[in-house]
Amino acid sequence: MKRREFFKNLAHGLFSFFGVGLIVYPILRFLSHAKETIKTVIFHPSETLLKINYKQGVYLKRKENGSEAISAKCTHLGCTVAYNERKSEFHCPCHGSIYDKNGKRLSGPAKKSLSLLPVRKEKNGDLIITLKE
Amino acid sequence: MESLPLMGINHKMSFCIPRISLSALLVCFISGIILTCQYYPFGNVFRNVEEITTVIPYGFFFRRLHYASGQLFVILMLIHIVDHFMKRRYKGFSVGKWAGLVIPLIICFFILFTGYILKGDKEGIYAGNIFYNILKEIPVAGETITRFVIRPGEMFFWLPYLYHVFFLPILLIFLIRDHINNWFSQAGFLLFTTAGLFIYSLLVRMPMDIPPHAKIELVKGPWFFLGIQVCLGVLPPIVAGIAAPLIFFAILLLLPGLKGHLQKAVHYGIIFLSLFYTFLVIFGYFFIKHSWVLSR
Repeated sequence: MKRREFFKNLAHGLFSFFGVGLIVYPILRFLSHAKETIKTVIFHPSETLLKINYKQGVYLKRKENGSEAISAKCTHLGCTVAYNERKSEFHCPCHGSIYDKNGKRLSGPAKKSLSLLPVRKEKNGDLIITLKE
Repeated sequence: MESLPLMGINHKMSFCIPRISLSALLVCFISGIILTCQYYPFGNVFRNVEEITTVIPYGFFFRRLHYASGQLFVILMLIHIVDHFMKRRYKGFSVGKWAGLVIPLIICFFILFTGYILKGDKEGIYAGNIFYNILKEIPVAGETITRFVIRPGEMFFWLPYLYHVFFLPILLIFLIRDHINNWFSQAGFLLFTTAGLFIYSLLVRMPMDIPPHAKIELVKGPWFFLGIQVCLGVLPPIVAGIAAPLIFFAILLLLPGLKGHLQKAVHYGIIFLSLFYTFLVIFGYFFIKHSWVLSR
């Protein structure tokens, strides 16, 4: 291949590559855009009396000095863990990960403990928990 | 209907299965189009599906028909490929032609899987979440790839819906277009299959839908996913959910391109892996009960 022909092909290739990229890049950026969804879960005062209560993906655990919110999302593959009252453990129904009553990982394929979520107390006693979806 | 009575049992099977399978696909498409008119992939999807099943006239029938015809199509397609594989017909195929048989099967499994998510019940939501989290495990591009397939939040069912109703069926029809042209001339198969599916749908119930907020100790995925679900309990998600299925299908796809002893070895390797996966599915279906003792 002559040098002139080589540069001609190279220019053609680069031009095509950037041309296609110019069209494909905005499409990919548009399609892959995802807005972050923040979910708010509210526990009313009457719902905080139980030792442990569940609402919309959050376990609220009563403690001596207040309440602690634990995410019900299994850290393995995102299933919702169920609280086993007899054993005081959280069990994942999908792949069998087990966490203790504080959300600490005990066994199973999950590698991390359940996430603790920040709890904000309103003047009327409502407990507000916000979590990313 | 051609010279069917003169064929041996093996030939009869090779002849009938694809024709019944395509007839089931047509029933599946028509029942799917009917269901789409009442299905809404936003808000409380579970309530919408329950309304279709219990309130809307004949909703239960069209759901059962769609479910049964879809399952029948995929099972027969699987048998069709096994039939080709065991008779080593891939030897006369190019990799491209063989891919035209294997890739539609993979697409079919994705159509079944997205349909499973679209039920909107507890199992469907968990299946979607698991799929989302497995895809996120892909190094570097995982986060971006998930955004093209499934997203958490209010759009959770939207992308699986688009894939289930538009993208994947269109791709499937495109890939099997020659088969459709060749095999849809025989009305007898269509009548026989439709009648069988109608009777089945009237008599046999679908598996129960579990409300999203029900407290249950064990969730199982669709039958073809059970083997992967068992593996996910003991292997990292990237291995059990991505690498292993990808490697298996890559080897299966490349089979006609191999030669001599290597092809023979890979042939038996695929048989072994398929039997092992079947064992895992049976194990997952029958022997895993409350709490996954296997993973403790």
